[in-house]
Amino acid sequence: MRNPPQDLSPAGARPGRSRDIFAPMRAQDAGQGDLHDKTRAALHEFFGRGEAFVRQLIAENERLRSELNETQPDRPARPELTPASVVEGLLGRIVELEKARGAAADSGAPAPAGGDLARLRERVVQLEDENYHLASMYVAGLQFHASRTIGDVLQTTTEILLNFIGVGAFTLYLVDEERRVLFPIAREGGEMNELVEIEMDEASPAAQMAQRGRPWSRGDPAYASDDVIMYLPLVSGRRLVAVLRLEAFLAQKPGFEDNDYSLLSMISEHAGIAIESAWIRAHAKAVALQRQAVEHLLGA
Amino acid sequence: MTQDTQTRRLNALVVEDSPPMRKMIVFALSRIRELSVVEADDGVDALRRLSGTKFDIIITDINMPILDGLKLVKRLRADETYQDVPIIIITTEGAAEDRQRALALGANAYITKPIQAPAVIKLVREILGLEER
Repeated sequence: MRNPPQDLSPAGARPGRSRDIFAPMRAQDAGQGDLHDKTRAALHEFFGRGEAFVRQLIAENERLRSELNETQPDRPARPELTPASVVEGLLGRIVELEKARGAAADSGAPAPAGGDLARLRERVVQLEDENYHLASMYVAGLQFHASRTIGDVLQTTTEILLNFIGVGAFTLYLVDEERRVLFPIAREGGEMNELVEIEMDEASPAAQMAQRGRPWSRGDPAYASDDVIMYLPLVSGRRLVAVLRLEAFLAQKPGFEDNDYSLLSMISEHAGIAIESAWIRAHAKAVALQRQAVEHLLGA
Repeated sequence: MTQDTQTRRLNALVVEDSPPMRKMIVFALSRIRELSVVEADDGVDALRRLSGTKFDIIITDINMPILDGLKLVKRLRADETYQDVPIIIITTEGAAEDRQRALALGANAYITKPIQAPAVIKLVREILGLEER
């Protein structure tokens, strides 16, 4: 995961970043058997908790996906990277590593040392990062699906861009479908009154995104120009709902890192749906929940 | 680790009005087995929770509605029960002035957004004197 420089210190001191979670094990006076036991215990606990967490993510992801399919039955299947596939892949890797650990323990092999231990440490740090990234994906998805108003969606989008990805300046434009323009609705890192509407003429990035009609994923065009990092389409199914113009990173953020792309992809897919849902909700008539009506909907 | 922390779980209070940020900090802290984590939406909610439980560490955002992090730090340091309890503040990179004010009011350390879970875990472990696992 990304490692932007950051302040992190008791009262201003700045210790170097260290993620050496096995530091205590390096003590030379600790016996080899003790080191082995500690390594096994730490790994067992780590994998156990990781697996439980990943299973929870898969269940939540399936629930969200099923909700999405119900609301948009004609939604095209997306073979590209999705949170579910990421989660399933990681779960597979956790199981593989757990098996390898078990096999090594059964064979009575000595505790890993030297290069092996260094590789093991590195792998644990990688898994911690992946675990944290999955958690950020989970939280982001959860927040979008819990949004009830357009204001909620704007707040969630802002927080994810600022606090999870590290984009410090951006503008969110919504689509006015009747007038064929994008109008600014929220801005971070600049003044709203400096902004004007953007015509959706054929050559504009917005028109191209509308024509494309699907969420952005890594490898898609960024529609970037000199003064922006990229334009991110927010869609609901094939409908372009809004466009995020990402203008600048936070000072401590040098650029996108691998995990940022899946968060951007999630924003592209889920923020648009959340905006559309909030829009429909704003125009819906409040009706009391009734057993008969619910059973009718369920075909009972 | 002190004798006291060996015999009971430690309580941490996370005060953050942004639900995604709060969830991520709680997730990071959940990796520390010795900690029980309680969440508060803002400074006022924090004071409510502080009245019922003794916390061993408090992690608070600065910019919050109603009662912000600076006022919260000030009130905690004026309270005998929380005079010496470690406080970590969460700030943005550009908010150097707020950061300095919080430290001057008695906060012990700060983290900046976007936060990194391993760094948060390391800092909390260091402050609480917990062994790295």
